[in-house]
Amino acid sequence: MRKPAKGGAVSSLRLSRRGRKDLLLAFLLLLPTIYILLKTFVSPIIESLVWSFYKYNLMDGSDVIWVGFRNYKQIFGLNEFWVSMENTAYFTVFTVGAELVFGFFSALLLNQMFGGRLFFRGIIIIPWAMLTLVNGLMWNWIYQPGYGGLTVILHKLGMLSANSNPIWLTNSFKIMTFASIADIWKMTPYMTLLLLAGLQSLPSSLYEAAVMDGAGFWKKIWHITLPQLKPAIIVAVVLRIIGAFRVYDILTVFSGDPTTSVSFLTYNYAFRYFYLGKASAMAWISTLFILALILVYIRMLKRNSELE
Amino acid sequence: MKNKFGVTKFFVIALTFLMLIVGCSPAPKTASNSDSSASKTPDSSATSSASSGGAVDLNTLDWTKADDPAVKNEEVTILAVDNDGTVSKMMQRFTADTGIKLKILPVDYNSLYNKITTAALSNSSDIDLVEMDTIWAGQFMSGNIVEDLTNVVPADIQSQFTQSSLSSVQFNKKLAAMPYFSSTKHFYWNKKMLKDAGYDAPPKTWSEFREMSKKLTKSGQYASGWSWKQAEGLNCDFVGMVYSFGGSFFKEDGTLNVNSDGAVKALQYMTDLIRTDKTIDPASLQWTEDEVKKAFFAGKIAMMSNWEGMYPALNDPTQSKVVDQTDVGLLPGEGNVVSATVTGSEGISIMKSSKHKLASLAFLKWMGSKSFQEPSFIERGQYPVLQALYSDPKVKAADKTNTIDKILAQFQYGQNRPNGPGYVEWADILSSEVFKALAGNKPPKQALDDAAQKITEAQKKAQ
Amino acid sequence: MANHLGTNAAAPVIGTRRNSTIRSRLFKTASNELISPFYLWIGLILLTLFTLAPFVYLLLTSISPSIELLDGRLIPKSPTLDNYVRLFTGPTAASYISAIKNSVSVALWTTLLTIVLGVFAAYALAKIKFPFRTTALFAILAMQLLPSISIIVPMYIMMRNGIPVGIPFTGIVFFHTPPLLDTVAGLVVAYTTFSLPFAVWLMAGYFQTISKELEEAAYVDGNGRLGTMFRVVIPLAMPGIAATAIFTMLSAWDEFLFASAFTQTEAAKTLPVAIREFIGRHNLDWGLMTAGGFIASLPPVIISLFLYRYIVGGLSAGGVKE
Repeated sequence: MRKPAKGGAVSSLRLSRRGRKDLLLAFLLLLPTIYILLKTFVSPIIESLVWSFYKYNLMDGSDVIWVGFRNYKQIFGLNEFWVSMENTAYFTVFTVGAELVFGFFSALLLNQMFGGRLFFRGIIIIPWAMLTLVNGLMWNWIYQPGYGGLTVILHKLGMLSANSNPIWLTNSFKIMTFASIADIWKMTPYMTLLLLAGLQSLPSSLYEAAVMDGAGFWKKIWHITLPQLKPAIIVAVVLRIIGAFRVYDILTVFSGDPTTSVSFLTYNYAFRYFYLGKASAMAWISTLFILALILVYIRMLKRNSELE
Repeated sequence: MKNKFGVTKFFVIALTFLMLIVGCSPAPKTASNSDSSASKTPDSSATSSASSGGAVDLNTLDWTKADDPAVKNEEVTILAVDNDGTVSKMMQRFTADTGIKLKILPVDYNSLYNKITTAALSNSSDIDLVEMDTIWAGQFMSGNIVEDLTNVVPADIQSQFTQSSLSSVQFNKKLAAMPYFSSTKHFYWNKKMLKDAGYDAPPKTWSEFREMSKKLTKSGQYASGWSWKQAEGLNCDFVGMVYSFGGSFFKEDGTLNVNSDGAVKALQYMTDLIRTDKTIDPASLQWTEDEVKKAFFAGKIAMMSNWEGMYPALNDPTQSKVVDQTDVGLLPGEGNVVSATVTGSEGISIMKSSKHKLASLAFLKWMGSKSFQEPSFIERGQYPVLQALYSDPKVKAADKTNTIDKILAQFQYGQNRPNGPGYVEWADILSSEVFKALAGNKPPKQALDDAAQKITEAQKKAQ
Repeated sequence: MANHLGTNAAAPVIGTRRNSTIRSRLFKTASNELISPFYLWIGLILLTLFTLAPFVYLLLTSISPSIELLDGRLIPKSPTLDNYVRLFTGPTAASYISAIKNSVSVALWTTLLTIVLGVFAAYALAKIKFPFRTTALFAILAMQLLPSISIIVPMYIMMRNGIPVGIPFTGIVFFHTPPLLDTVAGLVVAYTTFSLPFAVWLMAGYFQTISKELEEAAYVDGNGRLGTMFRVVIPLAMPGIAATAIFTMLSAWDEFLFASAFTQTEAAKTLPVAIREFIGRHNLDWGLMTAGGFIASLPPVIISLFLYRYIVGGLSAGGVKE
């Protein structure tokens, strides 16, 4: 995708015969995918956009009426919405950050040559392959006060005094933190795989010049690995932000507190309180928000690399 | 994500595209649901009284026609909680008894509500009957999801149900469902632990409970455990507590009132137990009913409030470490209140969108009768909704642990949660604020005042 | 790049070739590597520990008798396979086994459909020049952002009514599918919708890395576009396609929200739904839950272990490049 800049509307006017045939072929090849996405994905999404401009409360027997941007206005003024945004942002930053760091170092380890590499590369996939639902319930079990794995191990290691028995999930900050840990455990392998893939495409002679110059570990990472790995990191981080921002399942296991994430709150608005209009508006606001976030992130990285 | 042209172009295209689709697509189908249900309402209620003679309308709600032979060819579909297949087995007897085919869609409790509402939202007629928890009555009635059975089920049939099971399927005096089983929370205690602490009898009042708790708490053992995780289980305990402290969730004019004096007293009491006295297993803040049960079974707590169904498991040595050490009875009261507890009874409703209403009614008629209620207790331990069954010899004989009278006694003190159409949202607000008080993040009074204010706001916003 | 480091002389322990003691071998970093064996193995041990500990804990819990669960014991005193026996012979066995079957067929069909459709689209996006190509690729990625929650209801209606296949906005319908609610096919359609964008995007990235020269050669040989695609590009892109297939399969295996909304009976319920049913209203059968969860996690784990080579290899060349 190095030279698509030409492929604007202008160049399409000057297509050769082969070009025109290609265009038709491209269209035919894309057709099934476009058709399916339009049919099963885009049209429901549009429907939800339409709903977002209506007062559409299912469960109180009221009429469906057009309210313009009122739903949007109300959501911007809704305290819970901002709390949930904050919590989601915390969750996203914490998990994606930690997953990036752990994933990066795991990828470095697994990119080396050593006996049994196969085995280690295999086992790291286990958390990722586990069902999300089971993962949530498992960590909920680990976090049980008194007899849960976390408390028991901390007691055994002497990191907790024998008569102290902390309650792990007592406010939304703690819930978010412990849910993040569960998510980090499950999704770090995903990050590792993406980064490992990036590392593998780098030439193996990468560090040789630096070794001659006698650079240390951190120097090599900072000056060689990271810049080279940047495209892979961008993609991995974008994919994970998208995933983390939509966190829902795992939080429902830990608490009934809907302000722990935007998805949770949206879900409750749609399927528990049945303010379908407002829920749709909320979904659209958060989508646009995350879209903007990702654009800014990519733009920033772009500018960064241009400066270098 | 290549160049900025790509991005801008994408938006332009997307926008044009959106306009195109929105312009082309018919006016939002959103209104269709309420339209069709509204149009259906008059004829279904009218026919119940008007249709006499002639062919039987199979989509009518007429109690007297429910046994008509014409119904036999019908098939009805029911959505009900069934974790192990025993409910399905029991309900299949309906076909044997009446000839009407029954298709059972088993579901877990946590998915039940979503399944019902998704079906209702899409105006689907696939499901005829649904299990309804007491707290959904207002929503299902106001949302036109289920049929109003007030004038469908004859008064003499309604009067056979226990008061608590009947009131829990009503909203504004309207019958939203046929009572399915009876349930409240009960008080369980470990006789041995109480004896060790010098008590021969369980506490009668919450003041006694508090004093006894102090003696019952020692290393490795707490006096009590509760389901105080921020979830519906917390509301259940709170409701029972509020009524036992003389509070109520309603003002005299019937409007919701979560911060009455009794409610503040109740929350203060709960907070004192867990934060000042520390006689409650602190893990309670992370527990649902199930974890409380497990702790009680493991002999880690001396007293608990929980639903029915603990026996006979409590006396099964493969599951319990407290075999023959426990008993069940009335939850404590306070002052003039002897006892108060929350109801968790359920009913079965007929969906508005059903196309087999007469056959569905036939099912309700069968389900609310002895034919179902008796085996349901004997084989599954679910408490009957028919008053007469509590003195039925077969039922008595099946009650191996002799707990049925104690359970029935508690039913008399059952209090319903406010089940108006916005209940689910109020409940989320309430549990959130109550939890904050218990976790020590807010004083009880302020938490309840905040809850009251937020609920008022929510009610306003819903308009 | 080396210029930055040129003047730096902070040489570590490397290069002391004289003493070939274990110590130096442990701390010596090979010239083309980054980490010395000592730190490598420390890292690996930590990695293994953190990766496996919760999983092993789950496994140990599943073989604990229920009466021991609250003892705070990490390793059960009297381990038992009772939960697994109950899982496959108890009252829920039939529904659990049918859920395994459904999950397998949903995952396989979704993967097949996604890959077949996705390969064409990816090829077009990666190898044919046409206007708005980049835009299309970005649009496809952006689709992933959209909230899946808000489309459940419209999609449910669509599933219940069956999907008309025809030309949009013209009213021409070639074919109308039967209602897809509570069918494996319905879930396959829903999941394909969600996995297609990601699959297309991933494969397009991989296709781009396949050398132009090979393709041109095949083209000149008289193979035409499609011939080139089937004879040259797709065989070369096999690792990328395999990696995409695994990603698709895992997400179809894992999905809960839609599976729960669109299925009603054993005919279509998948494993996450079946496991969720072990949770009662006021009780959770922890033993069944962990045993069921463990078994359900095995197939993806085993598949990933066998195909891990493709997962990484398939991503490496192109998938994660822009």
